[in-house]
Amino acid sequence: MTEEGANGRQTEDDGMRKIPLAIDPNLIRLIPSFVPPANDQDAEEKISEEAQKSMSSAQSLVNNPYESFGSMPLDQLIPIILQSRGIGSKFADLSEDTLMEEIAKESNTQVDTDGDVNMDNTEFASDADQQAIKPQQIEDSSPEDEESHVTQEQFQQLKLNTAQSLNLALNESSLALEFVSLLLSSVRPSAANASMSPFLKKTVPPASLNAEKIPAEKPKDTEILDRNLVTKGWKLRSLEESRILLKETHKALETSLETEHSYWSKVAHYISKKDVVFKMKDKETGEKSLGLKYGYEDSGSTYRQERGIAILRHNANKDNLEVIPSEKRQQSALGKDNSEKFMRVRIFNKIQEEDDYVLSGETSLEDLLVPNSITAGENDIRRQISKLQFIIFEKELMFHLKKESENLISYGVTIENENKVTVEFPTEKMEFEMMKLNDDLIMNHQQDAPKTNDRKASLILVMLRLLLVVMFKKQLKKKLLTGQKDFNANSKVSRFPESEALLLRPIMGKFRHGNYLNLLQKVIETYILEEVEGSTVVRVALGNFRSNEDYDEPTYDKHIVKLDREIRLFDQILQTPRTDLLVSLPASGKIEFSLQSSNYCNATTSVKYIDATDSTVFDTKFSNFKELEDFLHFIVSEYVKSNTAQV
Amino acid sequence: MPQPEFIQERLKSLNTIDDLLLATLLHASQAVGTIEELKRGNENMKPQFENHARSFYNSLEEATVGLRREIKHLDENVGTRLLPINVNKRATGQDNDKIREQFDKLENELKESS
Repeated sequence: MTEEGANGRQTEDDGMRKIPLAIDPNLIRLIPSFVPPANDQDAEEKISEEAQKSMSSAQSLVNNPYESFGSMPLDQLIPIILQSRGIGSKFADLSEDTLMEEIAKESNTQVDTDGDVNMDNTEFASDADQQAIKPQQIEDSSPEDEESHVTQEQFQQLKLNTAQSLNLALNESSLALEFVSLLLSSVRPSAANASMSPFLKKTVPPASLNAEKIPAEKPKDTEILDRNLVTKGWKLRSLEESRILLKETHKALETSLETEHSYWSKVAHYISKKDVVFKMKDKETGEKSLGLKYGYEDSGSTYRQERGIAILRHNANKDNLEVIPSEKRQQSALGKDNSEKFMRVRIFNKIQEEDDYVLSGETSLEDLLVPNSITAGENDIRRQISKLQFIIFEKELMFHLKKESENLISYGVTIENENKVTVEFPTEKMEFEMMKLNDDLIMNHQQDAPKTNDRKASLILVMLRLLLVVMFKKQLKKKLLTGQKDFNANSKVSRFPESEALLLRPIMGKFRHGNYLNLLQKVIETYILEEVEGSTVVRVALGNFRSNEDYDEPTYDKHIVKLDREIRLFDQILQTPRTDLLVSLPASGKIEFSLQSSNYCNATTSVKYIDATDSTVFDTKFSNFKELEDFLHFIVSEYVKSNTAQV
Repeated sequence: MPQPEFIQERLKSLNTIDDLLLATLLHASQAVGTIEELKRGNENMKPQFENHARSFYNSLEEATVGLRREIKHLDENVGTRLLPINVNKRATGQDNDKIREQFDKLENELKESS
């Protein structure tokens, strides 16, 4: 302030004639703040002029006449300048050089007239002062000889810098204002609303910012002690808790490890290399476990309704391994809980003159199915696995049996329900039934008295099982044969059409054939033996014929050779039954009978009549015994009897 | 029909590793317990804490060493005892088992009758 005052006085002394524009402090400080830097100067001139006037009058610390010059528009300022330079001078004559000269002169005179006050000093002082505050204005306040070096570009650059700084300052200040307004809005909403920007009003709810001053109280010694105690207590407590946690985990893991160890040692001891064990997820418990394949899938079975996979589970209560079929859970969910079934064969004899049957024989319960509490350890596992194998085998047997029976209705085979197939013969009836394994059956299994046909029933059952194995073997052979041709075929089961079931028919065929043979012999007896004297019937031994074509096919695969050999064992059973009878007629040739069956169940009789001269007179086939009777009658009466009559 | 000796041995050593890892938990809980006592101002517990911490590290070390050894065994046996690929083992030969079983039955039945 003193400086400004000094400046003001000093220049005042010099009078109106010379105006050292650069020295006017108000001029220097105020102009930049009132001219918006970003705006075009010409457009803003008038507004800024008025604002300047009012502001300068209000804020100016000294009544400085020079300060108004700086804010004047050029058209006013230039006449004043001209006036101050004296009449006759022209604005166009003004140049930097002349002005500098004048200033130099002036300063000289000043020093001369007034030795105490040095213009340069004051200039320097104000210069230094302003330099500290606003560096940009150095140029403005520096002596004119320096100013002369400022080029247009530099000036533009400086202007730009100034404008930027100002913008920044403006932003900062408006931000600060917003902050204050927001802070204020909780106490004085109306006043704050007025000063808040629309953006802030929109985005921030008023009174959402608050501040309070809380006196920081110095805690007392007891309090500090208290707090320390509490922290220590917490620490001790957490230590205690972590200790307990660790201990409990240890305990829990100990028990689970114990079961795990015994599980593995049992697996290691009881499960042999032969068992197919693989990793599997136990769906019931969600744990990773071991699966065991017990089904016959890889041994030629085509049964796909059960997969034959079980889970090896450790029963902690009994401390033993349990083999649990993976299907068990699904089935119990469906309500079919007791899936343990086995096949029972029963034979009923027809009571003569009554249309009723009496049970004459049945298969006994497998020992395997009787629960045995004595077995333990390895035997127990073996037993469990064999039981599962047995049950799945029996189910498959029934499955194929039903399939086969579908086409045998005309031969007295009926499917009574999904668990029962009956086969009727003239004098007896056979029942193949899947029995559910329940306690009653187990209790009663030894109490029944032996019956006459028990053995027959069990032989039939054994034969059925053997025939199913033969089916497996055939399937295996087929797989091998097709596998040789096409490697990819191995994985696709669907590509193999299911081999024809041959279970019931070979057995049934034997019985039926026997019956047919009886019938045939009766026919022969009544129509030939009783008619023709001296005629005899002889059973012709069948040659060891092997009509099956595929045995001749050369095979080099030793597996196939082995399978072939095994299948051939059953040839006698699997061959369609055939019996040849030879009736020799004295002096009139012979009749050859051949009882055959194309599908095990039917019967065709071929009759060949060869007369005494060894020429075949008749060679026909009959599938009806009535026709055969008529034919025999015809032959006997027409040829044999006439022959004997002739003789 | 137990598994071969080697397999049993491996299982046994895996079991001991399990036990060792379990022991680390016990030691850890003991160490925490002693440090709690120490915090209570019972300075006599210091050697005990040291012991527990040592046994904790010991069991941990033994377990890791054991595991490494088992992994080494695993690596060494690939190609000899173990197949380097996953094979689906097939349950073959069950047909023969069944046939043998049924033959035995047949024999029994026939024997009884004669």
